Amino acid sequence: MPVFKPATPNITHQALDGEVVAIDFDKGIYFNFCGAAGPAFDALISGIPSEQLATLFTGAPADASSKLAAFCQRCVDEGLLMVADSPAVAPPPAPSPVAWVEPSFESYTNMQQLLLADPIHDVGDQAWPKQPGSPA
Amino acid sequence: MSEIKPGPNNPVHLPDPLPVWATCAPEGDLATPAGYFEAAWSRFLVAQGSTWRRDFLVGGTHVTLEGKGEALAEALTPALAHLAVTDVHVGAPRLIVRTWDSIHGRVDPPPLPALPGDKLAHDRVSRLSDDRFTAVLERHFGALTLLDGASGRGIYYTHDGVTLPYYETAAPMRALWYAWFSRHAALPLHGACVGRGDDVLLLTAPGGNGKSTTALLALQAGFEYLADDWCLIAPRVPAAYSLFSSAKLRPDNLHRFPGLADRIHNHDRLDEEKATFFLHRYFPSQLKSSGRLRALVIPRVGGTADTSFAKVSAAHAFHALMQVTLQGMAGAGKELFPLLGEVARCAPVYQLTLGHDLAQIPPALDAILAHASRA
Repeated sequence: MPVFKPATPNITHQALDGEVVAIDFDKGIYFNFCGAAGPAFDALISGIPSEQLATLFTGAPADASSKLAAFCQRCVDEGLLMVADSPAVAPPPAPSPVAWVEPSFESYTNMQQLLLADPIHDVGDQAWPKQPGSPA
Repeated sequence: MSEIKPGPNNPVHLPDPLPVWATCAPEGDLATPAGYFEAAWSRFLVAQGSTWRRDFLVGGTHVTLEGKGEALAEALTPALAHLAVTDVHVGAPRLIVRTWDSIHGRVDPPPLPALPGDKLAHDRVSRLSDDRFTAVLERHFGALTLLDGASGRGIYYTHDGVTLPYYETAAPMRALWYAWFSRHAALPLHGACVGRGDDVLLLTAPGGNGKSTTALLALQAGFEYLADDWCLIAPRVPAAYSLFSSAKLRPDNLHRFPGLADRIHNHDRLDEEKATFFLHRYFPSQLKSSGRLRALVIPRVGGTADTSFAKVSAAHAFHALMQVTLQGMAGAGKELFPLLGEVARCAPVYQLTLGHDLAQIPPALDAILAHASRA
């Protein structure tokens, strides 16, 4: 059963009252997942296998599994998720089921220029940029 | 990123390399954040000009501003005047900020370290940050902000305090407030803030959606006023704090506020600048330093006379907050994402559609406050 993880460290997400917002800071794209897509994305990121997604919803229609599989594939196609090579030995506990609402997948590029401006140069303990000629 | 060219929005460049005019003591290893900070901190001591000191209570934090020369005092302190404190009961400052400029102080900070690709030389805004130190270079008007978060010391250096752009004097040292408060679970946000009693509303949206107009209409209608452009939000309380006493209006919007016409601070430069007001001088009883955050409001200009509002999701607020923060906060980036999420979740969210009949807008704010209080 495939387990997914963020495709790059520069994918980040926030759960907001049942919706999920994700941002790809490499491409500058902003995503909004509503309905079942929000809890599904949250579950995928937490390590729940994609085949189990339909069990997270009450009142899910017969084609819920295929719709959730399509959502997973869209996340992979958009570069948000990738299959985890070494998933956790024990999957995390599933969250409490929520009522099914048709999943929606929206993406926005209106902040692309701002997100890609990248004025940030985060540095670690020894990573303050070296002066030319300074000791290593 | 292309090199910034001189122009109306980029009037000042830091000289490169930065000349050192005063004689400085031998300095430590500038290639480390601590070494660089200490060297810059010490250079304040050799800057020329009389030393001044002002104390403020910013977001509940006692901040002391130490400066050299009156030019910077006149540039930086009017917008903070409503937060000034003179009583010693506020105790020792948690944050001490030293500020000077090269033109009057005759000393520059040490040359910044080099980055691969010479990014610091070309980015409009660059930021270096680790767990303890932050450095923000705002090249477009020639300012360098440094913070040592552990010791509670900051530095705000600029090339010429007299030529700071109006948007910096109206909302000074935003990069410093961001660096400090984001380490303490609070965030300066691009938004207006007004309220009644202890309860306040944050109005946030990209420019041109009516934030300032709404805030000033509320001021005229007797609301208490925290901000028209920037305020500090502590989502875990949740609370809003006033940062600046200023308000700004596009000149073509001034006709809606005849009572402000003779209170414009920069009336001789309206061909290039927004009209700027320092409201503590004219509405001292309505300026409020903090309040309980009751709702987030996303204004937009509608096409009818009537004003209306509707409750929307936290994701709407998050989208608006991302836009305004990325546009307005020097050096802000993905590290603020979790805190913005906390802000979006901390209170009910409303979309406010502004009508042409401006008289309807303040009652709509009252109605939102009432609705949010019942939520």
